[in-house]
Formats: sequence, structure tokens, C-alpha cells
Amino acid sequence: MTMTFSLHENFGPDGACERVDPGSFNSKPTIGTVREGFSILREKLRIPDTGNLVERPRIDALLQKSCTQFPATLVSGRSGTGKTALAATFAHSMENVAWYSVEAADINWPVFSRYFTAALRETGRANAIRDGENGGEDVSENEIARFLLRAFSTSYAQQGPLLIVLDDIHHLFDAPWFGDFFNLLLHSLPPETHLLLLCRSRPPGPLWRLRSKQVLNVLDEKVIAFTIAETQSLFASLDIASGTECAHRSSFGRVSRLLQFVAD
Amino acid sequence: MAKRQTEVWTLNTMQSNFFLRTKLLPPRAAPELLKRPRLTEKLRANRNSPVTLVAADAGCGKTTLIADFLRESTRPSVWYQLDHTDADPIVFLNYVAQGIKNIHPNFGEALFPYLSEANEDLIRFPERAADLLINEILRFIDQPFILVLDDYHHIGTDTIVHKIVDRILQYSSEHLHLIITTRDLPPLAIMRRRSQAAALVLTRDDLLFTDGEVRELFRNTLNVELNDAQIAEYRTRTHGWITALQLVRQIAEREMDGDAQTLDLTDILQRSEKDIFDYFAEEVFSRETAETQNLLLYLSLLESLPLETCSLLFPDLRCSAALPDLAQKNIFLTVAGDGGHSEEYRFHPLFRDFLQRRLRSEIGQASVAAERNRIAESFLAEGSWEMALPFLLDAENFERAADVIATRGNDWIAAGAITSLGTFAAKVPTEFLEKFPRSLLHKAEIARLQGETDASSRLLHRAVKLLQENEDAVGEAEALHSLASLARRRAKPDEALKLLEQAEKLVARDSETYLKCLNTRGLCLIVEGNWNEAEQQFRAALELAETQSNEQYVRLIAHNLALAPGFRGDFGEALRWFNRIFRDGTPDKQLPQEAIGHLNVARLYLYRGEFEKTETHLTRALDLCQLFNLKSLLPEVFETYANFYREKFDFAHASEFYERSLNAYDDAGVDLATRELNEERAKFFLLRGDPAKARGLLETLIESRQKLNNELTINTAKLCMCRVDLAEGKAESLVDAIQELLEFFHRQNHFYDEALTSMLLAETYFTLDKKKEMVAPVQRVLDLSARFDYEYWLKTEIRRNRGIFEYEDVLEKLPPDLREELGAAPAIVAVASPAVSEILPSLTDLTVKVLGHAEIYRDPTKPFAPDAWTTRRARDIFCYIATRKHRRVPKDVLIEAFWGDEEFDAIEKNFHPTISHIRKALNSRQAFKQNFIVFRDGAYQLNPEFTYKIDTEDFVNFIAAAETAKKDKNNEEFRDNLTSAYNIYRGDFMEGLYEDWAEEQRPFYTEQFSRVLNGLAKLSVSEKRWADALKFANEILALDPYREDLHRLVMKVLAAQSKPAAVKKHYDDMLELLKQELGIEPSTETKRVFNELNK
Repeated sequence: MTMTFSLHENFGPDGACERVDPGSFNSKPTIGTVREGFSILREKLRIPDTGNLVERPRIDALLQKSCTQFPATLVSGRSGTGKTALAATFAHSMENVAWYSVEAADINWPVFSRYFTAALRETGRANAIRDGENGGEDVSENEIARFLLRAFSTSYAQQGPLLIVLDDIHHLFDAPWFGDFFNLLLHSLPPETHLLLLCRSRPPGPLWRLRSKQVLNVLDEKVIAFTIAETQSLFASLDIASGTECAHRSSFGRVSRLLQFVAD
Repeated sequence: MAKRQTEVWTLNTMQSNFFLRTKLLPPRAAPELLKRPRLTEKLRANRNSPVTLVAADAGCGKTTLIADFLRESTRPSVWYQLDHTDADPIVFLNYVAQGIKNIHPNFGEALFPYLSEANEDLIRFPERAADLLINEILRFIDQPFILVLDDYHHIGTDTIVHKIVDRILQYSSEHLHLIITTRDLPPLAIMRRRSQAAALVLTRDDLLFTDGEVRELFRNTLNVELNDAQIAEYRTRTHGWITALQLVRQIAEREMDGDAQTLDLTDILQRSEKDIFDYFAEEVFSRETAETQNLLLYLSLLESLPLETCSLLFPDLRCSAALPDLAQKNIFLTVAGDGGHSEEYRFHPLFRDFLQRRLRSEIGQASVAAERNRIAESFLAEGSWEMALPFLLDAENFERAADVIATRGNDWIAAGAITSLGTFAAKVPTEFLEKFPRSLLHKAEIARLQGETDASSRLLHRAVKLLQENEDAVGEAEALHSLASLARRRAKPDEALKLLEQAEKLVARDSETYLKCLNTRGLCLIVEGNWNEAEQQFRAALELAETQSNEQYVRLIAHNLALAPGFRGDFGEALRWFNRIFRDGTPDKQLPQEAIGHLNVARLYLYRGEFEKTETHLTRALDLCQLFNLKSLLPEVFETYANFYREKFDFAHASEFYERSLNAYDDAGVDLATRELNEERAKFFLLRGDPAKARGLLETLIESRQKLNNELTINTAKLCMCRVDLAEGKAESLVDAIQELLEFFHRQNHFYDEALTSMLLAETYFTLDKKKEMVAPVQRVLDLSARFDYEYWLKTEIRRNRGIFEYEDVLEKLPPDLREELGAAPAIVAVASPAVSEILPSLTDLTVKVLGHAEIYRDPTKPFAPDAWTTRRARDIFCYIATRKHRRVPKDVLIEAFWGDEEFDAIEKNFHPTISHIRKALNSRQAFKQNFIVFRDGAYQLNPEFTYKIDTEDFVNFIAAAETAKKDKNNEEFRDNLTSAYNIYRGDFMEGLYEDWAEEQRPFYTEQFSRVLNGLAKLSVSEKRWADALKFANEILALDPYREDLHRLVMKVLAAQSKPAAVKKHYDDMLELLKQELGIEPSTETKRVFNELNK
């Protein structure tokens, strides 16, 4: 099946529709020159309000523990497993949080790096990066290293604990610079800074080395799935008395399915 | 909900400056009106045809005649008095729609919202609005009504309103009769059809007074009895011209009031019509008081005379007292309305010209211009800028006119009055427009909308320069943005982007112009293939639109934002944007572009396996396609329906909809060579186990796409071909080809295609027993499925490819819920079967079975329920039409057959609603609405555009074919055709119905069936198939128990089966029957046969 879309160029009298096929343009569709000074969308830097359905002390404790024991935590789970909700709940309990919801369009380094910087700035801390100093499209490992060095400058790091959340980071897995960035980031984090990465699948490359060196803690969807006790709490909070076990069994503890079960 | 929405739309649309309620008011009857039955009878007789045209000069009595006809007609009517502003299609359609809504309050549910947002769409596709109007008439109106377009000539010849009227006339239902009064013959297609008597045209010759009418005029209004010679004289002198006669009558009336006994106008009547008019007008005018004369002179500056407007403009002239008085005296004024301040007076056109000439001569050209300027300023002070502009132009105050265009042009365009604005702007010399350079922006926009892009570009460049000189930064930015739009449409994104950069620097970052620039930039970037930055731009535009709380902007940009994720295969993300537009529970905007939105959402849901939502959005898309007659989109909707059924393994419906799609593409004139349909059909054939057919389609497709050098679509077709190769066991050579495709899709970030290709690669490795190699592609499949939520597809693949997913290295990567799929029922896999086209029935739009109890089907699996028809008569009428010759019945025959004994009023009341019941019944519970009953040339018939299967026709055809086969001594065909006819006959024609028309037809089919049985019985005997022979013979005897030839046949068969006792019993039973029922004995022949058999 092929997509057909209408294109709205303008408003009022100039709002015509045109057919757009994906194959209409033979130029490479992903990488283009990014304009300097594009608008930063504040929405992407806000901690989402996911609504606190039910308290999950088990998860909070896991994250808390991970924060103290590891510089970074990776939460991996498919759509509807509740990653963003648990991270948002955890983030709301922290004082200083830099949140960045990554989107597919951020796969260009200049875009990503500007958003990354902007997210850090949202915490009110100055960093040494100015716009235009992030590096270009074909960013090298050295440039990424310099970028991170400036981002986490000494003065910046001295201002107390910080949680950095990168949500939906799987959108970047296919970026040529992602591997370098991922490794360098984990090793550049200042003390008292914890990195929380949320993604639907695991990043490319082996994670065992990072895990074994206590750099990264991985929580996969089996860990974050609702337990039977949590399911019971959830259903109780929604005034549902029966069907808990059945719902838990058929949903495999996936929160979106539990809620669908409730809706049905 | 829908009703309230309509009211809101109507209000919004109608509160526009361009709407004057009085234009929809019919003229009131003059106090002394002469009835003209010879003409009204003609009009009455023609009211079942689509149109009546009354074409004659001013003063021939067109309006009076039609108004009088309508007052006496029982049909509801809409009166629409046109002027030059109605040349704009949006204005025109708004008036027509509002007029119809006045008599049918539910009307306009879709039309008003469309008109409020259509603008460019309407100019580009005028027929779309006409189709919408026609569809709404069909949907909401079940009683005929008359629409009068009075003074149609005012809109001129250069307007697309004519196209709309033509379309309405061509496709309107029998419920609409259009009456057009005009001074000139309009450029409509009906002018060419006159010879076919499709349109009645009343001309000046028809309208001229006859001798009898002249006699009646003088008798009724003056109580003067003219003799034949006088009548002949008046008629000869005036040529029956009603205005002259009216003038004569008015003067005569006054002469007689003054006790003058004679009336001799011989000299006057020998002059030309204009002289006659001027003479009498002068006479009539001079008899009024000086105050009245003054009033008339100044009012002549106005085209129409709404009482409120007149009082506002001429507060010293006592209009509210004087105008009703003048109308009462019938001094060249007519009145429309129902009293009070909402009345509107209208000058006789010739009289207005006369008064204007007189005013000019009395106060001079300069004073007339000053008065016009004063009127214009009064209108401007009231905010009625569109009323002011004609006065400024008539006064040649071009500077002020240019100023009004510059400041109000946007409102004008937003109201859809583009033609009016264009006409006005064209009258202002360029030097004045350039003093107000924003007026050039509007002129450029009009030029662009009219397809004159070069002219538009020139005007914009000039505007940029002048606005820069004037230091109007916002205006300059608007002009630059418009130039950028033009450049983008001309596929020059680089140029467009430079212009946008200039524009953005001139305006604030929270302004509307900046928002437009962001959106246009996004579109330019798509043209460049830079999807990521396009998304960034759209996101920024969306955030700004949300800050500005502009819902319309939010909807449009959200739609654009869905583009990139949709194409790259991130269906969840695309749906997230679409959900901003199509929230559950929010009412649909009934606009054509929404159809595309619903279609895309349906596709996205289909990819995700959410069938219920898929069907909901497909139904909405189909509704809108039909409402707006979106011919180019309809095939895509059918195609998606077919894919939807294919996914559900409902192959019969899938096949039906692929065929519908093929036909619809054909109707739309679209070359299928490179379209997706053939790729989808190839997948269908592959699924049905016919790889050869799939291969044939794909080979052609790849060849055609290669000519277009469209790499992406070539590769999607190649991917499908690789699947065919694998199905045909050609796995060996496949790995390299699939790897190449995989690299391509990965490079392009087409994740869904990449996932499909990875899966195919894994399948190929599995087939080649290279299990280790298949792990990596499966890993990629799992990874992409997790990232983009391809869970539905992945589960299908797991069920289809258990061997792959049960492999240890793969199994360990599967989450527990997906492992469960391995235990689920297997997906249906391709099974070699006969060619699909051979096993699936050809497309039939409607099946009618009347041999037996009546059953009518659209869905082949179940007939319409009886309650779908509202009344039994509706169903019977449909069956009647369907079974008549050519599937066509004249209206009068229909009335005679079904309302033969009823009063005219009852027929008038019930006939059309019953036809509506039929139309609605045939669309009940159907996503695809079709009009199966059309009214053409005075008859109702099954719409020939569709395909039908009617059992009576098939029955007769099989019998005819059997007869031919018998003549040719082809026993096999003879038997096959008779058997087919036998199978069709389920019982009596319209079984259970005892109306005359059914009973008249029933014996014919019974007789034919008897012949079929007879033939089958005899054939069975000759072929010694005794059981069959007995069965058929007994069926005939059940119909006619006294047929001794059949009794003899039964006895012979029984004897052949060596059943003498049965022979004897049969004979005895027959003997008894004949004796009891008819009081006779068997014939000699029967006795002889029995005796022989009994030996």
C-alpha cells in the first residue's frame, strides 16, 4: 500500500490539495542542510504530564537505586509498556531535570545537539556551548567529544544533582554519529548527573561491556511490566473489582493493554 | 449534532457582507395583474423537465409572468434575484443553498461548510460544488421544487457560474426545476439542447400580448371594452410590448380619471420602442409631485432599493412613506418582501435608465459623481465596503477605490467574491493601484487563482518594490511569501526558500505571515526531499498556530506533519498527527480534502491491523468521495477497501473491490500502468495461489515504472516480485537481489519496506536451509517492529513462518507475548488454486430476484430487509421498473399502475417521496451510495451506469439460448440452458403480490417455466434419466394437473421403471381428478396409452 497525502501550502484561498507520493522525489530523503537558528520546540523539552495512574514504588526504588549505582539507566520496551510514564513520574520527583523527547526528525546532528544543549539550559545552568559550535552534519568523534566536554563543563557540573532524560532515543539508532555519541556520553557524565535513556528497542552494538563496567543499567520490558500486585492496585484505583488475573495474564503486564482491557 | 453544526455554518456564511436577504424574496403581485393562462399553462406543462428559459428584452414581462406562475403553483419555490455580484460562484451557491434551506430547513449540511472553506477548490473544480448541491438535493428533498434565477444576464458571460448551472441541469434529479429569466441567451449547454425539447424557451415573441390579452388588459384594469379594430391597432402599434401597453394603460387611466372620454395615442405609438418609452415615462414622471420626482431621480443611482438602505442614504426624502406609495401606484417600481423594513423595491430597468439620464441632465455629471461618492462613504462608514466600491468606480474616484481594495481585499477573497474583486480591480487604472500597493497583492492573488501565474508574479514583484519604498514591512513580507508559493508550485524550491528567508526577516516571529512562511518552507523542503527539516518547520509552525489558537492552521499543519512519518513507515507517529484532525466523537468537516485525510488514516490503521477503525475511516472517505464526486480519489478508496478485505482473507469482497477500483480508475481516465493498484492485485493473486498472474502484473509494472525512473516504486514492485520468485521455488538466485533492496530501503529510511524486505530475506535463507544467516535479518525485523510498532504485521509473520521463529537463536529474542503466537492458529498461506478470476463472480452492482418472493441484493450474501423500503409500494415500484422493457417506465405509466384510482393531490403528495424511499432503500446499510433510479426524458429507469443481474432477464435469455441449442441439436447446451433457467425460477413472478401489474406478468413466466419443465422432462426421458423425468413432470402437474400429455409421460416413465402398480395408481388418480374437478373422462389417447402399458 502506498500513502497519498494532501499538501496544504497555505491558508485561506491558497489551501490547495496535491497528491504526494513517496517516490515523487528521488533525492535522498533524510539528510538535508539544517538552517541555523531553527525554532526550538519547547514542548519537546517539557516533562510530559502522563497522569499518575497508580504509584509504583517498586519501579521508583529500581530507578532510585540505579541512580545511585550507575551513571546511566537504559529503559527498553515496546510501545505501550509505560516507559515514558514511569520516567516522567520519577522525573517529577527530582529537583533538576533536563528532559528531551527525541523525534525522528532530530536525526541530524546539528538538530539533535541544539536540542540537547537547550534541554540542559532548561535546568537554568549555563553551559559553554554557543549556537553554531555544535558541529556540522558529518560530525566526527572528536567533535562530539569536544561538544560533550563543553556541555558538561566543570562549573556546570558543580551545581548539584541532575537527571537527564532522553525519551524515544531509538529514533537516533540509525544515525551515523549515534554510536560515538552514546559511548562518549556515558563516559562524559559529570558526577551527580544521571542519564535516563528510554527506547523501544536496544541500541546497536553490544551493551554487555557497559553493563559489566557498571556504566549502564538496563531495565527491559520484563522488568517494567506490571506485576500482578501492581495490576491489582491499578484496577483498584479504577474501581474494578474483577478480572485482574485474566487481564494480567493476557496483557503480559503491558500497561496499554491493561488499560484497553479496562476500556473494553 | 449535525443539524446544529449546519446552523452554525449557515450563520457564519450568511453573515458575510455579501448576503442580502431581500435577493431571495419574490416580487409581490401588482394590484392589477393580468393573468396569462396561455403562458402559465406552458410553464406548468414543462415543469417536469429540468429547465425553462425565459429570454427577452427588458420590459417584456418575464419577471411578472414567472412570479405569477409561482403564486399559482402548488410546488414550493426559491426566488433568486441576481445582480453582478452573483458572478462569484461562492456567492451564487450560497444564495441558492440558502434559498433551498428556506423551504427545506435540513438542507445544506455539507454544502454550507464546504462553501465557507472552498475558495480555491471551488474555482478549480466548480463541478464539485454543483455535485454537492445535487447530492444534497437527492439526500434531503423528496418533493419537487422550482428554483428561479431572475435576471441571470447580470452575471455576464465570463463566469464559472455557468459551468455550475450546466452541471446542475445535467445531473439534477427530477425534484429540481430551474426557471431562468434573462435578457440575453446565456452560454449554457441547454441552448444546444433546445432541439431535443429538453428545455422550454419562452422568447420575446411568446411574451408579447395577443389580441385577447390586450382586450383583457383594458377590460380588467380600465373597465374599457375595446372593439376589434382598436385592439388590432394597439397591438400593431405596440407590437404587443407589455411595457408600452402598460404605459398606455396608465396614461389612459389618468386621462379617464380626468374625465377625458377619448384616448388617441396613434402618433406616439408609431415611434420606436425607446421613444415610446421615453415619451410615456416623461408623461408619467411629470404627473408626480416635485418631491416625488426628486426622490425618484436620486434613488435611480441605486441598483436595488432595500427600504432600510434608502432611508439611511436619503434621510430627508421620507423613503419609508414614499416608496410603498409609489409601489402601490405601480409607478415602475416593484416590491419584494413581506412588508416592514425588510422590503426591497426594484426599479423597472428601463425606467431607471430614464431617471439616471434625467438626473444627469438636471444636476450635471460632476454633481452626480459627488452624490455617488457621498453614497460610497455612507456605505463605508457602515462597513459595507463591497457596496461602496461600485459607486466609487462609477464616480471615477479611483484613488479611494484602490484604497478600499488594498484594505479590504483580504476580506473579499476570504468571502470567496474573487470574480467581483477581480472585475473591480480591473477597472482601477494601475497608477492608482500602485499608490496602494497592497491592492496589487490582492490582484496578484486573483490572477494566480485564475491560473495566470506570470501575471501574478509580475504584480507581486512590483508590489514588493513599492511596499519596500513605502516601508510597509508586513505587506512586503506577504508579497515575498506569495512569490515563494508561486516558486514552489513551479518546482523551484531554492528560489522559494530564498524568498521566504527575506520575508521572515521582515515580520515578527509570532505573526501570521511568519506562520505561513514556516509552513511553505516545510513544503519546499519536501520538494527538495529534505523530510527532516520539513518536519522541523511544520513542528515550529504548529507550535505557533497553537499559540495563536487558530484551529484551522492547526488542522492543516497537523496534516502536513503526518507526511514524513507516514512515508517512512512510522504509522503510530503519523496517526498521532492525524488524530489532531480526526478526533473520535468530533463531527467531520465535510470538505473534499478531508476525504484524503480519512483515506490515509484508514491506510495507517490497516497497516496496524486495526480493522474496525480502518472501516470507519474508509466509510467516511467514501461518503465524501461520493458527496463531492471525487472521481480521482474514488479508485484509491476502493483499492484500500480491497486491501482491507484481502487482509481479512475475505477474497470475494477483495476481488469485487479491486474490480470496482479498476473501473473507477478507468472512469477517472487514470493510466494504471504505474499505479499501486497492480502491485496490490499482484499481492492478492499471490495470496490466492496464482503467482503466474502476479508475475505478469509485476513485470508490466516494473517496466512502466522504469520508464518514469521512480526508484522507490520500482523497488517496491521488485520486492513483490522477489516474493513471487520465492513462492515459485526460485530461492537460489534471490539473496543478492533482496540484499540490494534492503540496502536501498535502509538508505531511504523506509522502515516498513525495510522490515518487509528483511523478513523476506530471512524466509529465503530459511528456504535455503541457512538458518544461522537468517538470524540477523530477523533481529532487524524485531528491532524495527519494536521501534515502529509493527506488531500486527509481525504476529502475522510469526504465524506464517513458524519454522523461522521457532529456531532457537530467534526464539530467545521473542518477547513472551509474541512467543504465544507460535501456538496460535496458522495464518492462511497461499494455496495453489484455479485462477482467481475463474472462481470469483463478475462485479454486479445490484441483483434483482422477482421469480418467487421479491429479493433485492447489493451485498450478495443478504437481500435488503423489508423495512429498508419504508413502504411495500416502494419495493414494488422498483421491481416494476426493473422488469420492464429497457428497465424503464414513463412517469405517467407508473402513476397509472400504482396510483390509478387515487386523487391528483394524493399522487402529488406521495409519488416523489416513494421514489426517494426506493433510492434510500437501495443505499441502506451501504458504504457506497449510488443512485440506481434516474429520471430521464419523462421516464424512470435503472441507472445505466451500473451493472444489474435481474432474474427475469436471465431466465428468458436461458430459454432463448436453449431454443437455439435445440435447433442446433446440441443436447448438452440445450440441457445446460434449461437447467440454468430451471434453477433461476424460485416461484411465481412476485409471489404473494396480487396487484394487477404483477398478475398480468405472472402467467407469462409460469408458462415459460412450464416449457422449461416440459423440455427437461422430455430430455430426461430421451436420456432415460427416469427419476429426473418424473421430478420435472410432477412439477408441471403441480402447476397444471389436467395436462394429460404429462400424465401419459409419467405413466410411461413408471412403466419403464417396471412399476405397473404405480402406473395403475397414477391412472386411477388422474381418472378421479378429471371426474371430480372437470366432470370428464380421459382422452382416447390417454386411455390407449394406459391400456398398452397395462397389458
